[in-house]
Amino acid sequence: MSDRQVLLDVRGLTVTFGGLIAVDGLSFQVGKGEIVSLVGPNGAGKTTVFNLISGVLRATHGSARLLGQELIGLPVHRVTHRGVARTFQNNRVFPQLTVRENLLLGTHHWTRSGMLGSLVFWPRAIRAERRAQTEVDHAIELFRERLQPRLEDPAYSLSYANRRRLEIARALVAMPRLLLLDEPAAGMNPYERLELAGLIRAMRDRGLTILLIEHHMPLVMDISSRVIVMDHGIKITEGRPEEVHQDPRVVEAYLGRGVVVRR
Amino acid sequence: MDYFLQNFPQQLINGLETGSLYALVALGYTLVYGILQMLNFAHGDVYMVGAFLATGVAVLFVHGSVAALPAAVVVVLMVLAAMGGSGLLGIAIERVAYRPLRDSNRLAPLITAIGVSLLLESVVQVRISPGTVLVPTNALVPQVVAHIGSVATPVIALVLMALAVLLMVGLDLFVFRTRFGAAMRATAQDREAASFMGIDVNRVIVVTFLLGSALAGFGGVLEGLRFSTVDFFMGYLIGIKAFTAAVIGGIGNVRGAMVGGFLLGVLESLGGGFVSTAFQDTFAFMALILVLLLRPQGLFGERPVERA
Amino acid sequence: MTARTETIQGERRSALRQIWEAGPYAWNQALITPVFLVPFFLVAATVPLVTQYFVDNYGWTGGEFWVRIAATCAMYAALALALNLAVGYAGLLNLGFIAFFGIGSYTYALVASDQLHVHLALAPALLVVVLVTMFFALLVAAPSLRLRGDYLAIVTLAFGLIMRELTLDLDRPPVLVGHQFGPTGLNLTGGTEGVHLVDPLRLPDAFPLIHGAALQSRTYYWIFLGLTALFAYFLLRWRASRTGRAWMALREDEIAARVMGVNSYRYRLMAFTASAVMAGVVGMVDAAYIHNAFPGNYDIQQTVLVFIMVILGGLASIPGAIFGAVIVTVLPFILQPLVLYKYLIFAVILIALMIFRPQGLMGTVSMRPRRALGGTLELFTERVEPEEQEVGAEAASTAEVEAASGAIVAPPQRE
Repeated sequence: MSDRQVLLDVRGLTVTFGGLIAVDGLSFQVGKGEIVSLVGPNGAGKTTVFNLISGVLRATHGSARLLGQELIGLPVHRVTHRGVARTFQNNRVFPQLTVRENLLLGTHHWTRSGMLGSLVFWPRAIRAERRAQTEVDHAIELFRERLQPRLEDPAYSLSYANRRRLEIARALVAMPRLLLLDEPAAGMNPYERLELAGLIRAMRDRGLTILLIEHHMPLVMDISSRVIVMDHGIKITEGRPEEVHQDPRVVEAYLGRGVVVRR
Repeated sequence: MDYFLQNFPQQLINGLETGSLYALVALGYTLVYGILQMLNFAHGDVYMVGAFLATGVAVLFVHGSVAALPAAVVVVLMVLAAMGGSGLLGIAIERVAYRPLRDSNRLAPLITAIGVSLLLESVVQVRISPGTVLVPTNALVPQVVAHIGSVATPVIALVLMALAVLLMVGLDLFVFRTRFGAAMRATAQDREAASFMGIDVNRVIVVTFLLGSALAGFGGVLEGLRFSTVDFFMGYLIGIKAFTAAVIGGIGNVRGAMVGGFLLGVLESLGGGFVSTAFQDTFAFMALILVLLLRPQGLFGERPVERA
Repeated sequence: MTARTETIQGERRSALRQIWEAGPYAWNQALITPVFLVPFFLVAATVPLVTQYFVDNYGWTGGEFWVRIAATCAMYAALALALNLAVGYAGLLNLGFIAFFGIGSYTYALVASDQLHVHLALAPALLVVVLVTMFFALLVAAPSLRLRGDYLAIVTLAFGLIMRELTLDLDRPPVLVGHQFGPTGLNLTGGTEGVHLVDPLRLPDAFPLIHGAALQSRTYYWIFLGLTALFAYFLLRWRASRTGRAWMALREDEIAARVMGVNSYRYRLMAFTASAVMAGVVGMVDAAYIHNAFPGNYDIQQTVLVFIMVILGGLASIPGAIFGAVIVTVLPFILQPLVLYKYLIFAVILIALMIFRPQGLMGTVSMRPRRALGGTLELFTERVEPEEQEVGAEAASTAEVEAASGAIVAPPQRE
């Protein structure tokens, strides 16, 4: 990790609900340009970690620094402004808004156009709108065939896979430094997963750092530079996919026996 | 200071009496909110309908051509009519207006509730009376005033307060000591899990509305007998106050609603007596804002109310 | 709007027919284009001139009456648009909405009548009204918006009631703890009487048809119509802007909106305040119009009426709000014998709408049963059929899969 700049530095992250400790003293680092997977059985606390980092949930103790700046304690919208974007396990696109409007919302935190400015044709507002549209068109590039023809359709009318793509595209539009993907491959068939793997790599090539929660082991093995394994709110181990895959603790907790990953 | 000490007991008693009324109605709000997470804006108007039903019975027997019955019997009939009628009305409203929207987002049933509230008010306003209606309390209850020390209060007010407290105790026992009450509490915690446990959620909801509305009906009788007038708009004001009381106690918390009701009654009475009579109602509003600002979960509430 | 040119049974359908069949979404899109809106308002503006023609040439006695109804329609149209901003765009239940209309009325009445012996001209009066309404909006919303949506509903409900009480009680100086605040004889709001002899709006002389003091119904009709057009313009501009999108995102799914960087508290506050201030301005014009400010005009029943207009017309629909306002205002006049039952009938309509057709006549947004998509307000239009699920049906060959992946893996070039 020393040769790479650390983007996300999590130390002692803890959150308790009443008597239940959902995440307990979690520490890990994500280097710039890495693709790190967070894995573990259901209920391990993975999504909770995302909620903590993104500010949706307030941590009881611990810290999460993005390029040295503390994220814990910031309101959600400020965390996004610092450069963290995320998707949700249960897909939270804005159902009523069109695909284009969903995407434009990704530009919200980095455009400056106020309530009154949009009423009069304030030049700054117009320029901001134009820049936002350009960025949306750029993000759409990655999903050309899928989302381009459906730009003006309301999000609820999209197929499940397209809604997932939309959510990822929307997160991209927010121009994040760190992208948190929560089970992006859920409900996908092998072709779609292949596409997704390519997509994630393409995003990494664009300069993004990606932290993802995923259950589909072959995908995790395929694209991750590192894997962090959690169970019951604590980190069991972390390391390169091959190392982790063979770690008996991990196998015991989660992976089961004799899983062969074909590359 | 002397003035304060002299009048404090009187204001206190007045406050407790009004508070019992608030508590009765607040219970209906809190019960429904606990189970459905819904603010039943029409609840105050169910109270109003109860009051009118009781008045109707009273007028029928006192002024009407029906055979004269002893006053006590008439009062009992009034209570039965009010509680029964309000209870049934509450059930009907739930069935017709709220159940179809059961799985909607939070705000949809609120709008429907406003519609129901307006409907009830309009019906009474147009079909019964747009003004105040007199309740023939003179013929029904002895207009005796009790003097306890420096405090003077009509006996009927004390009796009604005692009855209200009895009803509340009864409800408390029902909710906390019976099996059905346990089912109610389970449904309030997690509706889905409760249904998996074999609890008939629909029945629980119906009974909740029945109980809450019946209590409100009794409250209507209480006000009618205490103040001798009813009008189509009385539910609105009481609704706000009772809701404030429920919030003070912690919305969704049964005992909280009772405590909150009495507390608000006393606060209002003291405020009205010592600070200003004209702005008495404003106190309820200010109390609401203060509670929401400083302790939104109320006195006994545990659910976090802040947005995540 | 994807208006496909359909060929059914070899027959080409006209554009209008296509729009009609495409459903409410298409109707809204069509009706908010300048091509329709500008002529609409121009034509609407000629109504008093048309009635005048009939009065002059045919001795029609109903002219003035119908102009007044038109003025009321226009007023409610403006109010419905203001409410639509808060409820339809941002998903905020302001149940004390009409109280802000009342605040606008009373504020103007106080600065343009003999009540306080202050007679401000139009511009300063407008400024005062906007500031005062804004103050009260912030007072109510600032603490409440930190909590859940249903709390805002009850606080605004209580606020509406308090406003009414205050206007009734402030005809004498307030007495607190035995002390009187203010000189005896201070009468702020006129109590049950209200404030009388409010100045009509004094318009600049430059306006051709309506110069000088506005004294005729038709002038106020035009002013209300102008406000409606202005508010429609605001809502249209906002809808296609960052602000409007943020509001709608908050309405749809608050957490997702925050994750997109929307400061939910601030934006909700902005929507609430804007809506309230708009209502206040309409109130100001109304006070000038009827020369009075009465406490009885601003209670919960009026608020519910405006809600009915918005929901009947269709949430978040600009033409719907105007349409709803006109229907709700005009209907009682047409069905004269039932006018006593006005509120009763409308209450039933509201309940029926919420149960059976929550998106109203032309709405594209409703609060229908939430499906797995989550969010606060749910969608309900018949416009677009959901896509077929892509179950790997297309990428049949490896070559296609490779091509598909390949097309994605290659970093796109920025132009």
